[in-house]
Amino acid sequence: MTVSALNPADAAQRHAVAATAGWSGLVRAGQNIRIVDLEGQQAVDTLFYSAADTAERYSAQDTVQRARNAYVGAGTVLISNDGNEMLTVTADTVGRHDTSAGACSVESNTVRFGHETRHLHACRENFVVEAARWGMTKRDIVSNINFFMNVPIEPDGRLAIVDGLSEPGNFVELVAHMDVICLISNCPQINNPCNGFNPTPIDVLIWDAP
Amino acid sequence: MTQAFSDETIAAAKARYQRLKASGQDAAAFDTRVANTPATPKDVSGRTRLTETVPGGWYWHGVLAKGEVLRVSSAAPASGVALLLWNAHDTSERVNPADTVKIQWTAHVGKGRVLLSDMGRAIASILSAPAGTLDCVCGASTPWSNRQKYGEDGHFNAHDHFIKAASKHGLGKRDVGPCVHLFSPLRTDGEGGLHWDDGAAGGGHVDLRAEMTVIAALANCPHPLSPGASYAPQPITVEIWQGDPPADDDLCRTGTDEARRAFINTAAWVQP
Repeated sequence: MTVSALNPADAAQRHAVAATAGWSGLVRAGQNIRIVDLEGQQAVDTLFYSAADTAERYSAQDTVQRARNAYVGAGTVLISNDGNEMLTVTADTVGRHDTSAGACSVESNTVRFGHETRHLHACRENFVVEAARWGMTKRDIVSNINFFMNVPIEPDGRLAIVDGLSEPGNFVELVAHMDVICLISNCPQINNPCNGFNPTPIDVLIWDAP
Repeated sequence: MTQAFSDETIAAAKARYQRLKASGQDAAAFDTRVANTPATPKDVSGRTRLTETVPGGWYWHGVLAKGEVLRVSSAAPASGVALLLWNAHDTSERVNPADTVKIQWTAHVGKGRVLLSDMGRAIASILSAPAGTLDCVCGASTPWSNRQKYGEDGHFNAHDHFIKAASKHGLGKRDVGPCVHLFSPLRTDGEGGLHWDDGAAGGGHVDLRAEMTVIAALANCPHPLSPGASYAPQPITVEIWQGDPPADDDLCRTGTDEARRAFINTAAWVQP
């Protein structure tokens, strides 16, 4: 766990993201972005794309490969599919975030929870709508980071979404090493513990480069 | 606290999740079915429509009709072979390693499991593979990883091979998403550290049955975490044949409730 020296009062931008909603925005090289889990245990599905060329995007596999660790936390460098450093996690008051279990979708919900759950909002619905704002489509949606989502991978391979570790007001903060488009889905899932079975709002703050 | 759902709805969702998790992680029943399912034939040479040797460090790509089986064999202990699959009729649908591990409640993917697409459908069934050797978490080699592992440039890597393979089907870098790595026994320790299991059996073969018509790409380049300080990928053999029609109790289609639901989705999608 690490703390931040940044003061919210000095943030250049503050975006309130309602429960279950999507958000996207530009984070320029040198800027810091903070995602605040206002009420705790709220998964925030997040993707990054190079603003200069969106074919370069966050790669969950390259990120865990380089870190030799399955979880994202303070110090994790987010790596692109071209092997470049996109952002670094500079502060994290939670300690562990998932990047191996992907985002929920209407389609995968039917497989995970039964076909009666088909008509529920899902992260990939938010992602494609936000991606469209930047000229991208479903084709561009790749495996994401799930901030505040707790998915231990056991030595015997067992993997499950379990109760989140984040408490009200916990946050992660990242510094951008290139201009990036950030897509967020404030996860609407109500069928597993990733949101404490109750989706809640988040804040996104952006500070200009010092 | 913000709350959009009733306490009753939340309690029902919690109870269902606990039930699904308990049954999804009940390995004993599934492992017994895997053990009792006969191995695929060792020699399929009389049935194949394609047999090709892929030199170490090279790649392969092709199209599999629904129901065809792709066998990837390695005579020597393999250091990993990276795999991508796309739905040939709509290439925005592709293999999704994250959904594959999440939906099946395990990162140890092998015989009896399915590879899931991003559309909640089974894209391929794993008819044969050593247990826990299809790595869905750690990705494949890149120019950077080869430089780190071997201390020099110039070795072929999966990242570049996938772009080349994709290009030969009209696809590009945007279509090259996360991959599955065959012959790659990756393990996660209690702290999330990733390790190659040196004790796992190397070599043998992986048989994948296409559950829709797919474009497949293989990169025969060592996994970045595989042992060995020198770049020495061994040749692999690729064979394709028409699989037997799946029986009503087909292991991959009926091994778990999740697989059954994925195949409902696959069957509901009428292929052009």
